[in-house]
Amino acid sequence: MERVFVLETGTYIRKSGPNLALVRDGKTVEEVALDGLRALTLVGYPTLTAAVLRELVSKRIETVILNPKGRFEARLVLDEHKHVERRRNQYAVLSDPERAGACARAIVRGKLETQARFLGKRATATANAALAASAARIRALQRSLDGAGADLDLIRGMEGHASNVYFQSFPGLVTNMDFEFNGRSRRPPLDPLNALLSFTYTLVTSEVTNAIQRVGLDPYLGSLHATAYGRPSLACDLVEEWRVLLVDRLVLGLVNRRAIKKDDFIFRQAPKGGYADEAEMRDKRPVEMGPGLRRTFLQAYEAWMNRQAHHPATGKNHTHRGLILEQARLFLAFVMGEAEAYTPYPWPGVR
Amino acid sequence: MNPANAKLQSKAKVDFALLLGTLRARVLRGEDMERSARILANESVWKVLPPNRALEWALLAQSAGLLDLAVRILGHINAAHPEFAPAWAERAALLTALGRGPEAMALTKLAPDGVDLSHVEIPTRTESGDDPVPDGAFRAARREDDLLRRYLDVFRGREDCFARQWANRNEGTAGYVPVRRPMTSQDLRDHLQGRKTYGVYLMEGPGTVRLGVIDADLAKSLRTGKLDSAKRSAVYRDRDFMLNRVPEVAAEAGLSCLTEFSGGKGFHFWFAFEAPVPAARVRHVLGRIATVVGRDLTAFNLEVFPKQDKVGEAGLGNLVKLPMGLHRVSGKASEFWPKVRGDVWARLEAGLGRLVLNPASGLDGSGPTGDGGGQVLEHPRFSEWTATYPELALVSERCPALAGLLASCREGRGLTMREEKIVYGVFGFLTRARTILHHALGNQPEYNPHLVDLKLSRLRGTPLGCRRIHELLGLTIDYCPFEKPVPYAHPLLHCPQWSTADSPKAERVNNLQDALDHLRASLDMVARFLPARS
Repeated sequence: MERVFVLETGTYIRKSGPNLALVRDGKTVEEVALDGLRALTLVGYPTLTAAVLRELVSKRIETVILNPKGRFEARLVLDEHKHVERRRNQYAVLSDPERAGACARAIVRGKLETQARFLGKRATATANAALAASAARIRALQRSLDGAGADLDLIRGMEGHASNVYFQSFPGLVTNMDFEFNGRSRRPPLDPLNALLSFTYTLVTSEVTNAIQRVGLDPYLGSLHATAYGRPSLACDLVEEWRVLLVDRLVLGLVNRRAIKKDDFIFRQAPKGGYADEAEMRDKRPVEMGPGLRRTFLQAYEAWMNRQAHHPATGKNHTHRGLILEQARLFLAFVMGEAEAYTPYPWPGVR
Repeated sequence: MNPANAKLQSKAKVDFALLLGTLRARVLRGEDMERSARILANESVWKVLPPNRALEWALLAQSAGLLDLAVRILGHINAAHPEFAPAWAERAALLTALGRGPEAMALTKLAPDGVDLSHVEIPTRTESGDDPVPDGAFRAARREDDLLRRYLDVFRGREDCFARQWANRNEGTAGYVPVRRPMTSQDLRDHLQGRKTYGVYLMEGPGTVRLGVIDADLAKSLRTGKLDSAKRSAVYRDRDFMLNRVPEVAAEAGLSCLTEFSGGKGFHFWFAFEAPVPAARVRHVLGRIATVVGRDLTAFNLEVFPKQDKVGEAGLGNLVKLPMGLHRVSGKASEFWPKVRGDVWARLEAGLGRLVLNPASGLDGSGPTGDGGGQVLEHPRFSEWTATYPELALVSERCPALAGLLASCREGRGLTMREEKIVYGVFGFLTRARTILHHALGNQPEYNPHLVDLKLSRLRGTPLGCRRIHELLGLTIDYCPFEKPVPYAHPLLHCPQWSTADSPKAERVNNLQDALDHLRASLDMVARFLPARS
């Protein structure tokens, strides 16, 4: 197995010969071969032995820790000292306002392109005039991007405006009447669709962060997203082009095909006086994916990330996960001066 | 120049850069949209703008959601400045995006030479627009959930408690401990996937059950060591007979059962009911079925669960291991019978697909269970078989020894030489011997029609007797009773179709002289090999 998700809280992971043994209630419930393991995602604070940590580091296995609600918490960061030249170039390029602005414009252009195309495609398919109108609005914003120059505030404002337009029309994309979407809500998500979107955005952001680290760049310095303590800004930048392509299409596809049902979620009453702190918000979120749904959704997500798509830049087919890595490599080429500009994934085959 | 035109021209000279900049800053960020919309709609402004600024104005209107206005502005630019190609392209793109493809196509004819709109095309409508996402995991999970729900609905007993099997492999012992909570679908998943093994306490309420079980265990003497071929053959014969006979007798009593290979020493016949039924009644009816079938079995002992009519407040009553679980000591899994290939879910689906819930009224039935009044519903194929081969049906019903052999024939299990001898020695004496033998043996792995005909032609004498058949099969059960005492008991006496007149006569009876000649010739031949007398 290349990627393993450990979902159950209270799992103890120890080394067992050439395998990792997952122990619960004192009994080994499963063994995972270390040979061939590329990524390990731990949900809900499992316990690792020192021997397991040493294996994860020596075999360079991507290890990500999510909290029990599926929110990104931490990652096992390996020493990337070999790529100091790449990171120095990254800092230089993204510290130059003109080049950082151009980079941010390219990223937003790519995101708006996918939003407009997706809405346009669905508008044509369902003869929905409201979706068509939203697609046209986003397209106009995209055309106006060049006029924004290096004004990062304006570029961010345009990106936010386009997202508002996109999510206002999002209910038109949901054909399963069991699900409602009343605007994008986060921290905490207020409805099942928002819960699914947030969970999947977290997973894809983690994939992008991995890809950035694999090509030797620093995920914490970006252009569109300002630097903030603990925020992987570059990962947040590069995930923008994948939001529609990899997240929204998957979530909407599963919901509209009625693969996911409303009963798969756990609903709670939000406290009347609001949440006291972040911890209470996490514990008492009004809606969250049930354990069964999370397990099945991760299987579907894995199948989705392993689906093949063509990349015009390489002329080859890659898995969706491979496309993310290829885009990280293109960003590296831009940073190293080997490419004039960064070009987001053009989503071939869809107009 | 009239005064109105003069006024417009003076306005055209006004530099709108500041206004456009303010609008751009607001509209592109999505701020103060109402006020911006009012300004954007001001026709007296956008009509006097130079084409590049008017185009920007149109894009701002489009960004603000004023799509009709944007189309009008672009139309104005096309009319006022037809040579300004970007406005044509922008208008065509906007009309296409809004689903006004024919209008966009019309622009290709209106645009002046030098404006290339060849890229304009009407998007084709796809079927649903939904992306083909991998929902196989969900379909599998839903199917699993449905199967688990059905399983829990059928194999149910006491709701507040179930039992977990423990095992001491070193000592080879196993037992059950109660788990005092309702069983969840996760528990059942663990059971089916072999992580845990659970049993169900049959007594659901005070003196009622939803499940009854006939437990068929291999006789203790046959469980140890390796069996010789004769014993093994006897076990298979009994097994085939029992697997056919229990459902048959149950059907005569108006009940349907699901057969399960218990994974170790025998079989379970599960009787599931639609509603709670009195345990005493279930015990009685299943007990009668077990008695009827059990008297013809030598290799298996039948036992009925539940064993109690009711349990006390402190007691939990009998439990039975749930189907498809792993035995913690032997490590063998139980399976619904007949076995089906595939993963645990495919096997479970096949098993549950065969299950028919019995109505509570099914326990009022009669037939061999003896209580009068039940209606038997025969399978159409069985009825057809009975009508076509009444001799086989009668013998099968009345003679357990031959019923076992015929069941083996139906299962396609190869007969031993002794068993084959019995089949020929009995059915070969019927009037329709040829038809019946070809039908009975047609399922054999080494079936050869010519050989069957040859063996049939060599048959002489009288049908094999019950005593000889029991000797050949090693049976220790009683002989079948006949209404009238007979000097020579054989199975064909069960058939009214059989009469002594049908029996082929021996040659010596038909032509004694020829027989004596043959004997003389044979003696002469033997004499040639004897040493010469000195």
